[in-house]
Amino acid sequence: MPVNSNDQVLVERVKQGDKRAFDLLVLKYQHKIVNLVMRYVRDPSEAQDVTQEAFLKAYRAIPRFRGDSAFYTWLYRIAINTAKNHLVSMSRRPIEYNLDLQDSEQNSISNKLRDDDSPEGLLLRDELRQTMEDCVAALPEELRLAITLREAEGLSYDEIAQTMDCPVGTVRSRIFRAREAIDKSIKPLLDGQWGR
Amino acid sequence: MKQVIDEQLSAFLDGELPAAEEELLLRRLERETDYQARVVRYAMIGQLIRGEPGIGTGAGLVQRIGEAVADETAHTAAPARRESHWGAFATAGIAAAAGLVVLTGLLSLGSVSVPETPLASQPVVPQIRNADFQSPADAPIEPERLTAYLVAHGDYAGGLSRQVMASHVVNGTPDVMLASSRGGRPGE
Repeated sequence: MPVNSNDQVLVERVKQGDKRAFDLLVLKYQHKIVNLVMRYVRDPSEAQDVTQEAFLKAYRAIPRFRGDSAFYTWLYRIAINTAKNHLVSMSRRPIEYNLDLQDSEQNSISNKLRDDDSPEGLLLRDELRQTMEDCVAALPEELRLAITLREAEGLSYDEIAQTMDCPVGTVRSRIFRAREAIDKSIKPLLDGQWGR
Repeated sequence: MKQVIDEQLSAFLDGELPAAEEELLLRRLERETDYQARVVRYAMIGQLIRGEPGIGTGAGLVQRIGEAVADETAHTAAPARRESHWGAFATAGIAAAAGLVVLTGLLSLGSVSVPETPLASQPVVPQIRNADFQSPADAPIEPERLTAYLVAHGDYAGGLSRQVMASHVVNGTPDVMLASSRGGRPGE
């Protein structure tokens, strides 16, 4: 993976004590890291904990990050090691029933969706899935194909461009328009849950 | 303009935004929470399409990590303050005071006896002795035992406290004590 100069700038800012720069790195890579961790830890809640731990380890170690490799490559290794260590520690630890009071008091959509057993969470997830599926089905063919190749198949823009025989810029635009359409369709559900 | 930025956000999420565009977008993302929320929603759409569990964790995760980092920063700042000059000075003072209290207790309880040595003749110990205790002031002190105790205590309480306390005893009677017993000032 090539070294991303923007990542390097952010890393340097973090080294100088700028926590907001680290927030941006988290925002940029959290989804990749969660997906990576979930290859090891199947439970979404646990995967979140491991992801948080991995980012925290990265934050602690960032003063020693010299930029020999790309930031993501470095973060990737930390996440893998954290996930493996988590599995080892879990096998040694008895099962604990840990109630997180702070989480239970929060009325956020994240928590409702995360909680697989909550009737509210199940209902909302089903509604979101149904709405999304209806919306994707109603999309123009080129948008549906572009978003499916990206999100379901994990193809890069270059690969999608080759598959669809169009410029990369067109792929980027199609994926965005598909996301916009789906976002518009699911946003009322999310806003309703947030009470806005 | 907004549509252009939203399209950049979409490409940013996919890691497909050119570096030059990303640099500008990062500045916007830093300021605009709406844009951050949009990235999280776009990510959620991907999770929905893939049928992944744990949908909607993005926003909460960014917040959680931010809080954890803030805690981390707070915890690492605290030891730095403790290592300051005043912190070390206070620690040494507390250790020295604790040592004197223990020493007083030992003397008062008669576990050590007062020897007929220059150290035992100093008034500093009787001055801080608790009046409620009946001290065997006439009993002899074993200097080697007292020294060993103070060295051990110094090891326990830290290097600085050892320097403050034990050097007075191990290396001889401090000037302050000698001076006060003679009614003069240190160094005279």
